[in-house]
Amino acid sequence: MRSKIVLAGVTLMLAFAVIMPAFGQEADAKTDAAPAKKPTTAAAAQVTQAELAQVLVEVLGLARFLPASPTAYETFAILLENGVSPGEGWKGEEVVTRADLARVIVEALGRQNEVENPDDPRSWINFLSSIGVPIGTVGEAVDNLEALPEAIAPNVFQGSTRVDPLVRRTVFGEPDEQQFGTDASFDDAYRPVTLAEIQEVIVVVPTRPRPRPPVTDN
Amino acid sequence: MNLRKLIAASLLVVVAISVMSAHAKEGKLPIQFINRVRVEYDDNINQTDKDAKSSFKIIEEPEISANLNFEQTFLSLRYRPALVWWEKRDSSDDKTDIHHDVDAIFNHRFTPRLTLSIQDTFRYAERPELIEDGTVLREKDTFKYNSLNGTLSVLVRPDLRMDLGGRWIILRYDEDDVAKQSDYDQYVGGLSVRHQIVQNSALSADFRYEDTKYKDADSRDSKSTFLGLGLEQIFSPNLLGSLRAGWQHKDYDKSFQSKEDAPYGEASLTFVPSPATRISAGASYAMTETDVYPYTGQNRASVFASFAYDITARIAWYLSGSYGHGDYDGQDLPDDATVGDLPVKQQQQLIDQGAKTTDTLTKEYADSVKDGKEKIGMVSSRLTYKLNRNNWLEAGWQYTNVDSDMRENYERNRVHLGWKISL
Repeated sequence: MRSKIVLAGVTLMLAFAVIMPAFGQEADAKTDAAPAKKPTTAAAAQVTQAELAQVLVEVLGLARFLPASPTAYETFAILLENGVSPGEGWKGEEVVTRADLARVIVEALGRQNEVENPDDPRSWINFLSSIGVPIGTVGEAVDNLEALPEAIAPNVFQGSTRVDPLVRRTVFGEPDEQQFGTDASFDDAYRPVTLAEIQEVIVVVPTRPRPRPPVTDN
Repeated sequence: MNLRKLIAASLLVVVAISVMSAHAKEGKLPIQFINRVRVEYDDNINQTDKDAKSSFKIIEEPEISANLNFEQTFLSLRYRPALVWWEKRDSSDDKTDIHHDVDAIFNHRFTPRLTLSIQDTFRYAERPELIEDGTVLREKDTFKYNSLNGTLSVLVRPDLRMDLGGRWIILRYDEDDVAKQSDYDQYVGGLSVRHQIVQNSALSADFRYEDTKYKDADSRDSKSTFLGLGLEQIFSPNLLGSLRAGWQHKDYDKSFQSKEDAPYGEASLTFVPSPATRISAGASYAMTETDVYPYTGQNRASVFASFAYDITARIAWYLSGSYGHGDYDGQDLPDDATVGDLPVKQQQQLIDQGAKTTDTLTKEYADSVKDGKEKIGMVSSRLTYKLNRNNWLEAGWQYTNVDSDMRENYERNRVHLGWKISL
């Protein structure tokens, strides 16, 4: 059965790879104009918010808390949890403006408290200029970001309560605890073996005597 | 390894990280170094109901990560070893554990509409054998775990996406007795079709197939099929929600019941009432695997919530909690198990009724142990103080409560003080 599934999967992948480029001219036209992966030449205004969010979760080190190929919704949720959001919130299909880009870059740098007038979009742009961060393109701007040192990842905490077996997180107790996150991620229900469980083994495994040093004549 | 060696090793790691970080900044390498040290007090290190033993611990966690972002490819690597020194550990010669975490991500965009994403998670945990007063408290359960996950995404139209995904999980224990019960391979395949109905709403249809194969305990093997629908909704700029629900069919290889059907569902909300306050919450219900040997599964309901609040620009407070309720049905026991295989409380229950540990489980026995429950609650709170852009101090508390019809109940509190530096 498994081999059939693998075979079917590979066939589907090949089919997608070969056939799909023939479809969706509309999608091509849209996405060609706004490459999602770290556009280095496109202006900020040519990138959608969904594409910007995807780049941000990668650059900010949040991708490892998300499923492979996350949906736009999943990227928005984790960015929102980490205090990164355009002024009007995330709207996937809207193009990114300079004001949006400036705001999310400042928030990703964790320096929003240094913006003089947060209600004025120009103030965010001016602040970035003052610290030497260019926002002519998304690529230039995100080059100044690095992984968040204090990432908030409720997704980790949530992971073990997920139902989907493709994304459900198996958590292992102490070695896997991320006590420095807010996640408190360990969940005994998914821990493969607990001490209590091993104590059950005592009933069926003969008690092992404590090793004793050899007795000598001295 | 003794405490002096651990401290010396920690200092070496910090110095090495500082030197490497300086070089990294000069050359603009996309590498980040984080070091965490914390001192923790644990009031129940053996997770027992009675005669709980406490210990201080020193935990050192350096972390190195690299994110490489190219025109069409993103590559991320992260390695985090953890060294734990225990002040008291019952009669164990080795008071130090070393664990290793490795995470890797590879995303590649073949065309604007075709993307491949691969994630790998590797864990190696050292959990030495514990012996106290001549009794084995814990067999050596050092383990290796790997989860390889791949998804091929196709944007069929701007508002229609198809994801073809697969996952392979491996769990291996070092100790034979533990490995015989718990080593497994799990294979998952799935297809999702997601349609963006309007800008703020997306509907998806999901199919999943899961095959769990235990290496030796093949009586715990099972196969599950999931079929369901999902909805993702952006209610407002600061409120997001998702809902998934469907039907799950599970086939057992050797249980008293050969198959089981049940609904599954999960919901989650992310709410940001102000820039300083972030809240997330969720709930789920499904048939899932379990670590309670020899059961093949459990029906589990769980809820969680987390709260983050920036008290000032430098001080932040985090609070998280979860509660899980697992139902265990005797019909999910393998039909070739013996009374002696059962969890200790249920085993005692049958022995009191005249059974022997060597008796093979009959349907009567299975009926008499059904409706076992296990309730697990947990709360975690943490306060951080940002000294400057690179340094944080923090204090935290974690509480766990396990109330089980099958295994030992326990409560556990852990309090820690820590320092983190990001370079």
